[in-house]
Amino acid sequence: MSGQIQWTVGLVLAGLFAVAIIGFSINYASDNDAAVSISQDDEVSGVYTNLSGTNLIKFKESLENTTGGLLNSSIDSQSGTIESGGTFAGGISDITTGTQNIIRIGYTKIFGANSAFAIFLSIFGAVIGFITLMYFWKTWAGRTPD
Amino acid sequence: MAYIYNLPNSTDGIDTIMTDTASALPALIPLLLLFTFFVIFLGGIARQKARTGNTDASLWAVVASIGTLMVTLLLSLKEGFINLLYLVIVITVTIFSGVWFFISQKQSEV
Repeated sequence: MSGQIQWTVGLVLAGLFAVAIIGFSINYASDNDAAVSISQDDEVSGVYTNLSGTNLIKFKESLENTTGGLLNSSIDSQSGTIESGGTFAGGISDITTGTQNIIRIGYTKIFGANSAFAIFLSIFGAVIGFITLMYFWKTWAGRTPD
Repeated sequence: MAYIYNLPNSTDGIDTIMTDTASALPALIPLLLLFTFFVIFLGGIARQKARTGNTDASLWAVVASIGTLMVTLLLSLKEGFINLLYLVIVITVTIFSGVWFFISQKQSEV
């Protein structure tokens, strides 16, 4: 499997790609007065609003907090650990929520909103969250989760 | 003689020839989009295999789905060619190709 940086960057870029594709389609349709526009579909527009307005922005903010925690953390002269354990939070819940939102349009639009396929979303979301968590734990504990 | 399909007429302009054809044969536009997707996807994989020996299916899925999206957006300008369902499916497939591409491991990456 890929490394921690590759994995996190991969998920973030997948979210940005989804925002770019949907945003381009919406703006193309509004610029050219198209007869059929993706903004007429409530679910896809809702996913776009959630991804761009909430998930990725919150991920950016918690990532900046993590970076500040790393840069500003201090070690006292007699202690062996840093003060805050939240350094490796890294916005994990926000990026897994973003990935789940992307997967949700897929199973809603292609498979229909049948509850039988809802297990796909919950299992996939749980696996993504678990892998992301293991990578952050790997950095903390120094062992390999592969 | 009897025709299988209704003939298009251009009374209201040449555009109506295309929209009448699309409405007389509803499968025309979806199959055109599928054709666009698979030509780029399979053609790219085949040429990459012949040239370099490796295949990068997720890359070609992204390229093919973006190409199909461009054709779909052009068709969406005028009423009667494409309905919202096909546009949503094309965008969903494009996004899924992108997710697959960014999550998959590349041989060139460290």
